[in-house]
Amino acid sequence: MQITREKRGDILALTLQVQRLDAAGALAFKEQMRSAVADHDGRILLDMEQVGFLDSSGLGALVASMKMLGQGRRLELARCGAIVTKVLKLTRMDTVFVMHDRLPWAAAGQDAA
Amino acid sequence: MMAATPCCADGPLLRRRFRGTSEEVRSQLRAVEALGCADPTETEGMDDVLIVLAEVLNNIVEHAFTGVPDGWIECRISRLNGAISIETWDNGTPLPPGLLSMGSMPDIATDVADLPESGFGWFIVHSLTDDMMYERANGHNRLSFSLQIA
Repeated sequence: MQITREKRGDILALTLQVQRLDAAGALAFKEQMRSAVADHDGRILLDMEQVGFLDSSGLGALVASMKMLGQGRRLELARCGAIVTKVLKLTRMDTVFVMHDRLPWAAAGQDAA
Repeated sequence: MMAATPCCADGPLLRRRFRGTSEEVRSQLRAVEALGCADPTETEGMDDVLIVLAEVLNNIVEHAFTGVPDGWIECRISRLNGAISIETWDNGTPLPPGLLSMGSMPDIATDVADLPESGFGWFIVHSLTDDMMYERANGHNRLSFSLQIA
């Protein structure tokens, strides 16, 4: 499991560098998210582009990560693939996370071009 | 006539027995992914197969092997008339009664702090397949279900 961090303006951009967020990796993901989000009060976006598979345990770990943010903050998910999107839509959790088809800063760049 | 890929031909596709751990479930799902399929119109159907299979197998790992030292799961996958049929056998404890009929979605219309972190699995299963069968035979659990992919 690996989560990289980068600041993009007021957004903390996290990139999840695993192919699967599943029952086997859910606990490690939650532990890494806890330290990754600890010192940031603003928006937090998780780039899911490399994640090809999500199961209900992985979904539970995403929910647990959002709860870590506190103050009712919503975790933002970007570039979810077909299976990740399907699982989020089936459970209607796509209405709970803030979903982005593209990285917001990349989309802004394209609009300006 | 072009040769059909293994996934696109009728008949058995995969039969594997593995230890009942979440790591081995992951390996099983990779093996199913590796079956591949040449027909892009079936990609979504095969995605659904993987989604349902993950939930069924993880459920067995989480609930069937308490106190079972050598838990194993055998998964048999075959294809017939555009549908993928899946059968799982395991040597775990019997499924709790009523589990198969439960498919309700946990309440997500709440504050973030109260959102559920589990309970999605069987809802996902029942959303994608409607012919789940369970039987207990010779001290083993057998689940079978199918998904139309073409």
